[in-house]
Amino acid sequence: MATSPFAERGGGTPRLFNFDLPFVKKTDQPLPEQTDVSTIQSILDIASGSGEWAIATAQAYPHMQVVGIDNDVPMVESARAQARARGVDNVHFTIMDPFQKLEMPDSSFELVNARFINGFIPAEAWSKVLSEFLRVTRAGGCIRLTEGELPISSNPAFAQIGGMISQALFMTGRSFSPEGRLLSITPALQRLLQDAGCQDTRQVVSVTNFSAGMEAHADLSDDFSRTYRLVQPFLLNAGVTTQEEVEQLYQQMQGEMHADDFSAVGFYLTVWGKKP
Amino acid sequence: MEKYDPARTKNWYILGDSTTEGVHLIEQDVNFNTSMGGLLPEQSQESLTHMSHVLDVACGPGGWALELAQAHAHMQVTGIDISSNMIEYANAQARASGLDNARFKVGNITEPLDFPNESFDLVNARHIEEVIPVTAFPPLFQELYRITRRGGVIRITGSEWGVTNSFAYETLMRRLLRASRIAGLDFSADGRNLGITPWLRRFLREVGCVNIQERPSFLDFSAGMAQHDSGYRDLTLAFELMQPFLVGVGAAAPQEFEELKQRLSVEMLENSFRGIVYTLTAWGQKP
Repeated sequence: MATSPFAERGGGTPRLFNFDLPFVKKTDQPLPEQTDVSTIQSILDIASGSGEWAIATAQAYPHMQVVGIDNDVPMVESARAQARARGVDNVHFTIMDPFQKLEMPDSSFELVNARFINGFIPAEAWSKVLSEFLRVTRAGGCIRLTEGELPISSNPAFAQIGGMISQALFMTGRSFSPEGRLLSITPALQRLLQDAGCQDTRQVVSVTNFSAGMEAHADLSDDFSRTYRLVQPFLLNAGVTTQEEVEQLYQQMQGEMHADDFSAVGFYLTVWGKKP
Repeated sequence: MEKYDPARTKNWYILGDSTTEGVHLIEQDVNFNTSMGGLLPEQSQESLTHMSHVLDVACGPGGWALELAQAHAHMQVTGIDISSNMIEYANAQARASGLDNARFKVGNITEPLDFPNESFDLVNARHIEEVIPVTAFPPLFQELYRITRRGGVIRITGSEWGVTNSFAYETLMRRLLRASRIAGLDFSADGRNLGITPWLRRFLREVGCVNIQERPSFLDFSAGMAQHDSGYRDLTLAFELMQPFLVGVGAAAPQEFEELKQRLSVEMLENSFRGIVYTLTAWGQKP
Protein backbone atom coordinates (compact mmCIF):
# COMPACT_ATOMS: atom_id res chain seq x y z
CA MET A 1 0.00 0.00 0.00
CA ALA A 2 1.33 3.43 -0.92
CA THR A 3 2.29 5.47 2.08
CA SER A 4 0.35 8.67 2.09
CA PRO A 5 1.71 11.77 3.82
CA PHE A 6 -1.81 12.19 5.12
CA ALA A 7 -4.17 9.48 6.21
CA GLU A 8 -5.49 6.25 4.80
CA ARG A 9 -9.17 6.17 5.46
CA GLY A 10 -9.49 2.58 4.33
CA GLY A 11 -9.29 0.02 7.10
CA GLY A 12 -10.83 2.36 9.65
CA THR A 13 -14.21 2.33 11.28
CA PRO A 14 -17.50 3.89 10.25
CA ARG A 15 -18.31 7.16 12.07
CA LEU A 16 -18.57 5.82 15.59
CA PHE A 17 -20.86 8.35 17.20
CA ASN A 18 -23.49 10.89 16.35
CA PHE A 19 -24.01 12.02 19.93
CA ASP A 20 -24.68 15.61 18.84
CA LEU A 21 -27.43 15.01 16.27
CA PRO A 22 -30.38 14.59 18.70
CA PHE A 23 -29.53 17.98 20.20
CA VAL A 24 -29.17 19.60 16.77
CA LYS A 25 -32.48 18.11 15.67
CA LYS A 26 -34.27 19.29 18.80
CA THR A 27 -32.87 22.81 19.02
CA ASP A 28 -31.87 23.71 15.43
CA GLN A 29 -28.54 24.80 16.89
CA PRO A 30 -25.68 23.02 15.13
CA LEU A 31 -23.14 25.50 16.58
CA PRO A 32 -24.49 26.06 20.10
CA GLU A 33 -21.18 27.22 21.55
CA GLN A 34 -20.46 29.89 18.90
CA THR A 35 -21.65 33.21 20.25
CA ASP A 36 -21.55 35.09 16.96
CA VAL A 37 -22.41 33.13 13.83
CA SER A 38 -23.16 36.27 11.78
CA THR A 39 -19.50 36.54 10.71
CA ILE A 40 -19.48 32.99 9.37
CA GLN A 41 -20.30 32.97 5.67
CA SER A 42 -18.93 29.60 4.66
CA ILE A 43 -18.46 26.29 6.41
CA LEU A 44 -16.61 23.16 5.35
CA ASP A 45 -17.90 19.93 6.91
CA ILE A 46 -15.24 17.21 6.89
CA ALA A 47 -16.38 13.64 6.13
CA SER A 48 -19.94 14.84 5.81
CA GLY A 49 -21.26 11.28 5.44
CA SER A 50 -25.04 11.16 5.32
CA GLY A 51 -25.05 14.96 5.32
CA GLU A 52 -27.28 15.37 8.35
CA TRP A 53 -25.10 17.88 10.17
CA ALA A 54 -24.32 19.93 7.06
CA ILE A 55 -27.98 20.07 5.97
CA ALA A 56 -29.15 21.02 9.48
CA THR A 57 -26.51 23.76 9.57
CA ALA A 58 -27.51 25.16 6.19
CA GLN A 59 -31.13 25.14 7.30
CA ALA A 60 -30.42 26.83 10.63
CA TYR A 61 -28.25 29.54 9.07
CA PRO A 62 -29.63 30.54 5.65
CA HIS A 63 -26.93 33.23 5.24
CA MET A 64 -24.20 30.58 5.13
CA GLN A 65 -22.85 28.41 2.34
CA VAL A 66 -22.12 24.93 3.66
CA VAL A 67 -19.87 22.51 1.78
CA GLY A 68 -19.68 18.85 2.77
CA ILE A 69 -16.86 16.64 1.50
CA ASP A 70 -16.64 12.87 1.63
CA ASN A 71 -15.01 10.20 -0.52
CA ASP A 72 -17.87 7.74 -0.17
CA VAL A 73 -19.75 8.22 -3.44
CA PRO A 74 -23.11 6.63 -2.47
CA MET A 75 -23.09 8.68 0.76
CA VAL A 76 -22.49 11.91 -1.13
CA GLU A 77 -25.28 11.08 -3.57
CA SER A 78 -27.62 10.29 -0.73
CA ALA A 79 -26.71 13.54 1.05
CA ARG A 80 -27.40 15.51 -2.14
CA ALA A 81 -30.78 13.80 -2.51
CA GLN A 82 -31.62 14.62 1.13
CA ALA A 83 -30.75 18.28 0.63
CA ARG A 84 -32.89 18.45 -2.52
CA ALA A 85 -35.80 16.67 -0.84
CA ARG A 86 -35.69 19.13 2.04
CA GLY A 87 -35.39 22.11 -0.30
CA VAL A 88 -32.07 23.26 1.15
CA ASP A 89 -30.05 25.01 -1.56
CA ASN A 90 -27.21 26.55 0.47
CA VAL A 91 -25.51 23.21 1.05
CA HIS A 92 -23.32 21.38 -1.47
CA PHE A 93 -21.71 17.98 -1.32
CA THR A 94 -18.49 17.16 -3.13
CA ILE A 95 -16.74 13.85 -3.61
CA MET A 96 -13.28 14.40 -2.17
CA ASP A 97 -11.01 12.58 0.25
CA PRO A 98 -11.25 14.74 3.38
CA PHE A 99 -7.98 13.41 4.80
CA GLN A 100 -5.67 14.03 1.84
CA LYS A 101 -4.53 17.31 0.38
CA LEU A 102 -7.78 19.19 -0.18
CA GLU A 103 -8.50 20.35 -3.73
CA MET A 104 -9.43 23.80 -2.50
CA PRO A 105 -7.69 27.17 -2.46
CA ASP A 106 -6.14 28.55 0.74
CA SER A 107 -8.39 30.58 3.04
CA SER A 108 -11.71 29.36 1.63
CA PHE A 109 -13.83 29.01 4.78
CA GLU A 110 -14.60 30.82 8.02
CA LEU A 111 -15.22 27.54 9.80
CA VAL A 112 -13.95 24.03 9.21
CA ASN A 113 -15.96 21.47 11.13
CA ALA A 114 -14.98 17.85 11.83
CA ARG A 115 -17.23 15.65 13.93
CA PHE A 116 -16.35 12.21 15.28
CA ILE A 117 -13.61 11.48 12.75
CA ASN A 118 -11.41 9.63 15.26
CA GLY A 119 -12.00 6.14 13.84
CA PHE A 120 -11.23 7.30 10.28
CA ILE A 121 -7.57 8.19 10.64
CA PRO A 122 -4.48 7.00 12.49
CA ALA A 123 -3.53 9.03 15.55
CA GLU A 124 -0.25 10.07 13.94
CA ALA A 125 -2.07 11.55 10.91
CA TRP A 126 -3.96 14.15 12.95
CA SER A 127 -1.32 16.87 12.82
CA LYS A 128 -1.00 16.76 9.01
CA VAL A 129 -4.77 16.57 8.58
CA LEU A 130 -5.27 19.54 10.88
CA SER A 131 -2.66 21.66 9.12
CA GLU A 132 -4.55 21.04 5.88
CA PHE A 133 -7.80 22.09 7.55
CA LEU A 134 -6.00 25.22 8.73
CA ARG A 135 -4.74 25.99 5.21
CA VAL A 136 -8.28 26.22 3.84
CA THR A 137 -9.45 28.31 6.82
CA ARG A 138 -9.37 32.12 6.56
CA ALA A 139 -7.31 34.14 9.02
CA GLY A 140 -9.62 34.86 11.95
CA GLY A 141 -11.74 31.83 11.06
CA CYS A 142 -11.83 28.69 13.15
CA ILE A 143 -11.48 24.93 13.24
CA ARG A 144 -14.08 23.12 15.28
CA LEU A 145 -13.61 19.52 16.39
CA THR A 146 -16.15 17.33 18.16
CA GLU A 147 -15.18 13.92 19.54
CA GLY A 148 -16.61 11.55 22.09
CA GLU A 149 -15.41 8.83 24.38
CA LEU A 150 -17.20 5.47 24.28
CA PRO A 151 -20.79 5.56 25.50
CA ILE A 152 -21.11 4.57 29.16
CA SER A 153 -23.80 1.96 29.62
CA SER A 154 -25.03 -0.42 32.27
CA ASN A 155 -25.91 -2.99 29.62
CA PRO A 156 -23.16 -5.58 29.15
CA ALA A 157 -23.31 -6.47 25.42
CA PHE A 158 -23.51 -2.84 24.31
CA ALA A 159 -20.63 -1.95 26.63
CA GLN A 160 -18.59 -4.97 25.57
CA ILE A 161 -18.74 -4.15 21.86
CA GLY A 162 -17.62 -0.64 22.78
CA GLY A 163 -14.67 -2.15 24.62
CA MET A 164 -13.74 -4.22 21.57
CA ILE A 165 -13.79 -1.09 19.42
CA SER A 166 -11.52 0.65 21.89
CA GLN A 167 -9.12 -2.30 21.86
CA ALA A 168 -9.14 -2.58 18.06
CA LEU A 169 -8.56 1.16 17.59
CA PHE A 170 -5.60 0.89 19.93
CA MET A 171 -4.15 -2.09 18.07
CA THR A 172 -4.47 -0.34 14.70
CA GLY A 173 -2.90 2.95 15.80
CA ARG A 174 -6.17 4.88 15.80
CA SER A 175 -6.25 5.61 19.51
CA PHE A 176 -4.80 8.23 21.81
CA SER A 177 -4.90 5.73 24.64
CA PRO A 178 -1.58 4.15 25.65
CA GLU A 179 -3.26 0.79 26.29
CA GLY A 180 -6.78 0.79 24.87
CA ARG A 181 -9.05 1.19 27.92
CA LEU A 182 -10.84 4.20 26.39
CA LEU A 183 -10.30 6.22 23.21
CA SER A 184 -8.53 9.11 25.01
CA ILE A 185 -9.23 11.32 21.98
CA THR A 186 -11.14 13.98 23.95
CA PRO A 187 -8.32 15.09 26.26
CA ALA A 188 -6.00 15.20 23.23
CA LEU A 189 -8.07 17.59 21.10
CA GLN A 190 -7.13 20.96 22.55
CA ARG A 191 -3.40 20.29 22.31
CA LEU A 192 -3.78 18.99 18.74
CA LEU A 193 -5.38 22.27 17.72
CA GLN A 194 -2.75 24.31 19.54
CA ASP A 195 0.08 22.34 17.97
CA ALA A 196 -1.48 22.90 14.54
CA GLY A 197 -1.23 26.64 15.18
CA CYS A 198 -4.71 27.56 16.41
CA GLN A 199 -5.09 30.28 19.02
CA ASP A 200 -7.69 31.09 21.69
CA THR A 201 -8.70 27.44 21.90
CA ARG A 202 -11.80 26.72 23.95
CA GLN A 203 -13.60 23.52 24.94
CA VAL A 204 -17.14 22.74 25.96
CA VAL A 205 -18.59 19.46 27.19
CA SER A 206 -21.97 17.98 26.26
CA VAL A 207 -23.76 14.81 27.18
CA THR A 208 -26.50 12.86 25.45
CA ASN A 209 -28.54 10.50 27.57
CA PHE A 210 -30.09 7.91 25.26
CA SER A 211 -31.47 5.56 27.88
CA ALA A 212 -34.88 3.95 27.34
CA GLY A 213 -37.59 6.57 27.56
CA MET A 214 -35.34 9.49 26.60
CA GLU A 215 -35.97 11.61 23.51
CA ALA A 216 -32.61 10.64 21.98
CA HIS A 217 -33.16 6.91 22.49
CA ALA A 218 -34.80 6.09 19.14
CA ASP A 219 -32.29 7.96 16.97
CA LEU A 220 -29.17 6.83 18.78
CA SER A 221 -30.19 3.21 19.23
CA ASP A 222 -30.82 3.05 15.46
CA ASP A 223 -27.50 4.75 14.91
CA PHE A 224 -25.58 2.34 17.15
CA SER A 225 -27.35 -0.65 15.62
CA ARG A 226 -26.06 0.45 12.23
CA THR A 227 -22.57 1.46 13.39
CA TYR A 228 -21.94 -1.61 15.52
CA ARG A 229 -22.93 -3.79 12.55
CA LEU A 230 -20.69 -1.90 10.11
CA VAL A 231 -17.76 -1.96 12.52
CA GLN A 232 -17.67 -5.76 12.73
CA PRO A 233 -15.25 -6.37 9.81
CA PHE A 234 -12.85 -3.89 11.45
CA LEU A 235 -13.07 -5.80 14.74
CA LEU A 236 -12.50 -9.12 13.00
CA ASN A 237 -9.52 -7.79 11.04
CA ALA A 238 -7.99 -6.48 14.24
CA GLY A 239 -8.45 -9.91 15.77
CA VAL A 240 -10.24 -8.74 18.93
CA THR A 241 -13.22 -11.05 18.45
CA THR A 242 -14.61 -13.91 16.40
CA GLN A 243 -17.51 -13.84 13.97
CA GLU A 244 -19.52 -16.03 16.28
CA GLU A 245 -18.83 -13.99 19.40
CA VAL A 246 -19.53 -10.61 17.86
CA GLU A 247 -22.73 -11.82 16.19
CA GLN A 248 -23.98 -13.20 19.46
CA LEU A 249 -23.10 -9.96 21.30
CA TYR A 250 -24.74 -7.91 18.59
CA GLN A 251 -27.99 -9.84 18.94
CA GLN A 252 -27.84 -9.43 22.71
CA MET A 253 -27.19 -5.72 22.29
CA GLN A 254 -30.29 -5.32 20.10
CA GLY A 255 -32.32 -6.85 22.90
CA GLU A 256 -30.74 -4.59 25.50
CA MET A 257 -31.45 -1.46 23.51
CA HIS A 258 -35.14 -2.21 23.31
CA ALA A 259 -35.53 -3.17 26.96
CA ASP A 260 -36.96 -0.79 29.57
CA ASP A 261 -33.75 -0.80 31.58
CA PHE A 262 -31.45 0.28 28.77
CA SER A 263 -29.19 3.00 30.22
CA ALA A 264 -26.51 4.85 28.31
CA VAL A 265 -24.90 8.27 28.17
CA GLY A 266 -22.37 9.68 25.75
CA PHE A 267 -20.04 12.50 26.80
CA TYR A 268 -18.51 14.53 24.00
CA LEU A 269 -16.23 17.49 23.78
CA THR A 270 -16.29 20.32 21.26
CA VAL A 271 -13.00 22.16 20.92
CA TRP A 272 -12.40 25.11 18.66
CA GLY A 273 -9.60 27.53 17.94
CA LYS A 274 -8.86 30.49 15.73
CA LYS A 275 -6.50 30.66 12.80
CA PRO A 276 -4.29 33.66 13.57
CA MET B 1 -5.21 2.64 58.44
CA GLU B 2 -7.32 -0.44 58.94
CA LYS B 3 -6.96 -3.26 56.49
CA TYR B 4 -9.72 -3.30 53.91
CA ASP B 5 -12.31 -5.95 54.64
CA PRO B 6 -14.40 -6.84 51.59
CA ALA B 7 -17.03 -8.44 53.78
CA ARG B 8 -17.73 -5.08 55.35
CA THR B 9 -20.70 -3.56 53.55
CA LYS B 10 -20.97 -0.31 55.48
CA ASN B 11 -20.00 3.06 54.15
CA TRP B 12 -16.27 2.95 53.71
CA TYR B 13 -13.45 5.35 53.07
CA ILE B 14 -11.31 3.35 50.70
CA LEU B 15 -8.68 6.02 51.21
CA GLY B 16 -9.04 6.09 54.99
CA ASP B 17 -10.35 9.08 56.92
CA SER B 18 -7.15 10.60 58.19
CA THR B 19 -6.52 14.34 58.25
CA THR B 20 -4.42 13.79 55.12
CA GLU B 21 -7.47 12.39 53.39
CA GLY B 22 -9.50 15.34 54.74
CA VAL B 23 -7.10 17.78 53.09
CA HIS B 24 -7.17 15.67 49.92
CA LEU B 25 -10.98 15.76 49.84
CA ILE B 26 -11.10 19.53 50.43
CA GLU B 27 -8.74 19.95 47.49
CA GLN B 28 -10.98 17.69 45.41
CA ASP B 29 -14.05 19.74 46.41
CA VAL B 30 -12.42 22.97 45.32
CA ASN B 31 -11.39 21.43 41.98
CA PHE B 32 -14.83 20.02 41.28
CA ASN B 33 -16.66 23.17 42.35
CA THR B 34 -14.49 25.17 39.95
CA SER B 35 -14.91 22.74 37.07
CA MET B 36 -18.68 22.61 37.56
CA GLY B 37 -18.96 26.39 37.41
CA GLY B 38 -20.06 26.90 41.01
CA LEU B 39 -21.84 25.21 43.90
CA LEU B 40 -25.30 24.94 42.32
CA PRO B 41 -24.70 26.32 38.82
CA GLU B 42 -27.85 24.81 37.35
CA GLN B 43 -30.31 26.25 39.89
CA SER B 44 -31.87 29.65 39.14
CA GLN B 45 -31.41 32.59 41.52
CA GLU B 46 -35.16 32.45 42.04
CA SER B 47 -35.11 28.85 43.23
CA LEU B 48 -32.03 29.44 45.39
CA THR B 49 -33.86 32.13 47.39
CA HIS B 50 -36.54 29.55 48.23
CA MET B 51 -34.06 27.00 49.50
CA SER B 52 -33.66 27.50 53.22
CA HIS B 53 -32.82 24.01 54.44
CA VAL B 54 -30.09 22.13 52.62
CA LEU B 55 -28.57 18.73 53.37
CA ASP B 56 -25.28 17.44 51.93
CA VAL B 57 -24.91 13.69 52.42
CA ALA B 58 -21.50 12.05 52.70
CA CYS B 59 -20.18 15.59 53.05
CA GLY B 60 -16.63 14.51 53.91
CA PRO B 61 -14.70 17.41 55.45
CA GLY B 62 -17.53 19.77 54.44
CA GLY B 63 -15.97 21.71 51.58
CA TRP B 64 -19.15 22.09 49.54
CA ALA B 65 -21.49 22.71 52.50
CA LEU B 66 -19.23 25.34 54.04
CA GLU B 67 -18.89 27.23 50.77
CA LEU B 68 -22.66 27.14 50.30
CA ALA B 69 -23.32 28.43 53.83
CA GLN B 70 -20.80 31.20 53.24
CA ALA B 71 -22.35 32.22 49.91
CA HIS B 72 -26.01 32.07 51.05
CA ALA B 73 -26.55 33.46 54.53
CA HIS B 74 -30.28 32.64 54.39
CA MET B 75 -29.60 28.91 54.11
CA GLN B 76 -29.26 26.46 56.97
CA VAL B 77 -26.80 23.89 55.67
CA THR B 78 -26.41 20.48 57.29
CA GLY B 79 -23.76 17.94 56.41
CA ILE B 80 -23.61 14.30 57.45
CA ASP B 81 -20.78 11.85 57.10
CA ILE B 82 -19.92 8.46 58.54
CA SER B 83 -16.50 9.59 59.70
CA SER B 84 -16.33 11.40 63.04
CA ASN B 85 -12.87 12.67 62.03
CA MET B 86 -14.36 14.36 58.97
CA ILE B 87 -17.25 15.80 60.98
CA GLU B 88 -14.90 17.21 63.63
CA TYR B 89 -12.80 18.73 60.88
CA ALA B 90 -15.89 20.29 59.22
CA ASN B 91 -17.28 21.69 62.48
CA ALA B 92 -13.89 23.17 63.33
CA GLN B 93 -13.78 24.81 59.88
CA ALA B 94 -17.30 26.23 60.40
CA ARG B 95 -16.28 27.69 63.78
CA ALA B 96 -13.05 29.09 62.40
CA SER B 97 -14.97 30.82 59.59
CA GLY B 98 -17.63 32.10 62.00
CA LEU B 99 -20.39 30.28 60.11
CA ASP B 100 -23.38 29.63 62.36
CA ASN B 101 -25.58 28.41 59.48
CA ALA B 102 -23.52 25.27 58.81
CA ARG B 103 -23.60 22.27 61.08
CA PHE B 104 -22.22 18.79 60.71
CA LYS B 105 -23.06 15.52 62.38
CA VAL B 106 -22.13 11.90 62.06
CA GLY B 107 -24.54 9.85 59.99
CA ASN B 108 -24.42 6.64 57.97
CA ILE B 109 -26.14 6.94 54.60
CA THR B 110 -26.50 3.19 54.25
CA GLU B 111 -28.92 3.24 57.21
CA PRO B 112 -32.20 5.13 57.79
CA LEU B 113 -31.41 8.84 58.10
CA ASP B 114 -31.96 10.60 61.39
CA PHE B 115 -34.20 13.39 60.03
CA PRO B 116 -38.00 13.83 60.10
CA ASN B 117 -40.04 13.55 56.89
CA GLU B 118 -39.91 16.60 54.58
CA SER B 119 -37.08 18.38 56.35
CA PHE B 120 -35.14 19.84 53.41
CA ASP B 121 -35.63 21.99 50.32
CA LEU B 122 -32.52 20.57 48.74
CA VAL B 123 -30.76 17.29 49.37
CA ASN B 124 -27.39 17.03 47.69
CA ALA B 125 -25.17 13.99 47.18
CA ARG B 126 -21.79 14.35 45.52
CA HIS B 127 -19.54 11.51 44.51
CA ILE B 128 -21.14 9.00 46.84
CA GLU B 129 -20.33 6.33 44.23
CA GLU B 130 -16.86 6.35 45.75
CA VAL B 131 -18.08 5.47 49.23
CA ILE B 132 -21.15 3.22 49.12
CA PRO B 133 -21.85 0.01 47.23
CA VAL B 134 -24.27 -0.10 44.28
CA THR B 135 -26.86 -1.98 46.31
CA ALA B 136 -27.02 0.86 48.86
CA PHE B 137 -28.30 3.38 46.32
CA PRO B 138 -32.01 2.44 45.99
CA PRO B 139 -32.68 2.43 49.76
CA LEU B 140 -30.69 5.66 50.15
CA PHE B 141 -32.79 7.36 47.49
CA GLN B 142 -35.97 6.26 49.29
CA GLU B 143 -34.61 7.98 52.38
CA LEU B 144 -33.54 11.12 50.51
CA TYR B 145 -37.02 11.32 49.01
CA ARG B 146 -38.65 10.93 52.40
CA ILE B 147 -36.74 13.81 54.00
CA THR B 148 -37.22 16.18 51.01
CA ARG B 149 -40.16 18.62 51.07
CA ARG B 150 -42.77 18.54 48.33
CA GLY B 151 -41.45 20.76 45.57
CA GLY B 152 -37.93 20.31 46.93
CA VAL B 153 -35.00 19.09 44.90
CA ILE B 154 -32.83 15.99 45.11
CA ARG B 155 -29.52 16.48 43.37
CA ILE B 156 -26.80 13.95 42.67
CA THR B 157 -23.39 14.37 41.08
CA GLY B 158 -21.21 11.50 39.94
CA SER B 159 -17.98 11.26 38.00
CA GLU B 160 -16.51 8.70 35.73
CA TRP B 161 -12.82 8.27 36.43
CA GLY B 162 -10.40 10.14 34.27
CA VAL B 163 -9.48 9.46 30.67
CA THR B 164 -5.83 10.15 29.92
CA ASN B 165 -2.88 9.37 27.68
CA SER B 166 -0.76 8.06 30.56
CA PHE B 167 -0.01 4.35 30.58
CA ALA B 168 0.39 4.29 34.36
CA TYR B 169 -2.86 6.17 34.97
CA GLU B 170 -4.85 3.95 32.61
CA THR B 171 -3.36 0.77 34.08
CA LEU B 172 -4.03 1.96 37.64
CA MET B 173 -7.63 2.73 36.63
CA ARG B 174 -8.04 -0.82 35.33
CA ARG B 175 -6.69 -2.16 38.63
CA LEU B 176 -8.94 0.16 40.58
CA LEU B 177 -12.01 -0.84 38.59
CA ARG B 178 -11.17 -4.47 39.25
CA ALA B 179 -10.81 -3.72 42.96
CA SER B 180 -14.07 -1.77 42.99
CA ARG B 181 -15.86 -4.67 41.38
CA ILE B 182 -14.55 -7.03 44.04
CA ALA B 183 -15.69 -4.57 46.72
CA GLY B 184 -19.13 -4.08 45.14
CA LEU B 185 -18.52 -0.37 44.36
CA ASP B 186 -18.61 -0.90 40.61
CA PHE B 187 -21.51 0.14 38.36
CA SER B 188 -19.79 -0.69 35.14
CA ALA B 189 -20.87 -3.34 32.69
CA ASP B 190 -17.41 -3.66 31.16
CA GLY B 191 -14.72 -2.71 33.70
CA ARG B 192 -13.57 0.23 31.55
CA ASN B 193 -15.63 2.96 33.17
CA LEU B 194 -16.92 3.30 36.68
CA GLY B 195 -20.33 3.50 35.03
CA ILE B 196 -22.17 5.69 37.55
CA THR B 197 -23.40 8.39 35.17
CA PRO B 198 -26.15 6.46 33.31
CA TRP B 199 -27.66 5.53 36.69
CA LEU B 200 -28.20 9.00 38.16
CA ARG B 201 -31.39 9.86 36.29
CA ARG B 202 -32.68 6.37 36.89
CA PHE B 203 -32.26 6.55 40.67
CA LEU B 204 -34.22 9.82 40.71
CA ARG B 205 -36.95 8.50 38.44
CA GLU B 206 -37.41 5.22 40.26
CA VAL B 207 -37.95 6.96 43.58
CA GLY B 208 -40.65 9.24 42.12
CA CYS B 209 -38.89 12.49 41.16
CA VAL B 210 -40.24 14.56 38.27
CA ASN B 211 -38.75 17.25 35.99
CA ILE B 212 -35.44 15.41 36.00
CA GLN B 213 -32.63 17.26 34.27
CA GLU B 214 -28.95 16.67 33.69
CA ARG B 215 -25.89 18.83 33.29
CA PRO B 216 -22.43 17.64 32.28
CA SER B 217 -19.16 19.17 33.40
CA PHE B 218 -15.53 18.26 32.98
CA LEU B 219 -12.24 18.81 34.68
CA ASP B 220 -9.25 19.12 32.38
CA PHE B 221 -6.11 18.29 34.33
CA SER B 222 -3.80 18.12 31.32
CA ALA B 223 -0.30 19.58 31.57
CA GLY B 224 -0.43 23.34 31.19
CA MET B 225 -4.04 23.64 32.39
CA ALA B 226 -4.96 25.56 35.55
CA GLN B 227 -6.04 22.37 37.31
CA HIS B 228 -3.01 20.29 36.43
CA ASP B 229 -0.99 20.99 39.58
CA SER B 230 -3.85 20.34 41.98
CA GLY B 231 -4.89 17.32 39.91
CA TYR B 232 -1.37 15.96 40.17
CA ARG B 233 -1.24 16.43 43.95
CA ASP B 234 -4.75 15.03 44.32
CA LEU B 235 -4.03 11.91 42.27
CA THR B 236 -0.62 11.07 43.63
CA LEU B 237 -2.06 11.37 47.14
CA ALA B 238 -5.15 9.35 46.18
CA PHE B 239 -3.09 6.50 44.73
CA GLU B 240 -0.86 6.58 47.81
CA LEU B 241 -3.88 6.27 50.10
CA MET B 242 -5.48 3.69 47.82
CA GLN B 243 -2.63 1.21 48.01
CA PRO B 244 -3.94 -0.77 51.01
CA PHE B 245 -7.34 -1.10 49.32
CA LEU B 246 -5.99 -2.22 45.93
CA VAL B 247 -3.46 -4.58 47.40
CA GLY B 248 -5.86 -5.73 50.13
CA VAL B 249 -8.50 -6.96 47.70
CA GLY B 250 -5.84 -8.55 45.52
CA ALA B 251 -6.31 -6.28 42.48
CA ALA B 252 -2.65 -5.31 42.30
CA ALA B 253 0.62 -6.80 43.50
CA PRO B 254 2.54 -4.46 45.83
CA GLN B 255 5.59 -4.40 43.57
CA GLU B 256 3.58 -3.60 40.43
CA PHE B 257 1.60 -0.94 42.26
CA GLU B 258 4.80 0.75 43.44
CA GLU B 259 6.19 0.82 39.89
CA LEU B 260 2.96 2.19 38.42
CA LYS B 261 2.80 4.92 41.06
CA GLN B 262 6.33 6.03 40.25
CA ARG B 263 5.66 5.92 36.54
CA LEU B 264 2.47 7.96 37.07
CA SER B 265 4.43 10.72 38.81
CA VAL B 266 6.76 10.92 35.84
CA GLU B 267 4.06 10.77 33.15
CA MET B 268 1.76 13.30 34.78
CA LEU B 269 4.54 15.86 34.94
CA GLU B 270 5.45 15.49 31.29
CA ASN B 271 4.40 18.36 29.08
CA SER B 272 2.51 15.92 26.86
CA PHE B 273 0.21 14.66 29.66
CA ARG B 274 -3.49 14.93 28.77
CA GLY B 275 -6.38 14.04 31.07
CA ILE B 276 -10.06 14.82 31.58
CA VAL B 277 -12.64 13.75 34.16
CA TYR B 278 -16.28 13.72 33.04
CA THR B 279 -18.97 14.50 35.60
CA LEU B 280 -22.74 14.45 35.44
CA THR B 281 -25.18 16.19 37.77
CA ALA B 282 -28.81 15.09 37.76
CA TRP B 283 -31.58 16.71 39.74
CA GLY B 284 -35.31 16.25 40.07
CA GLN B 285 -38.24 17.51 42.09
CA LYS B 286 -40.34 15.70 44.63
CA PRO B 287 -43.89 16.30 43.37
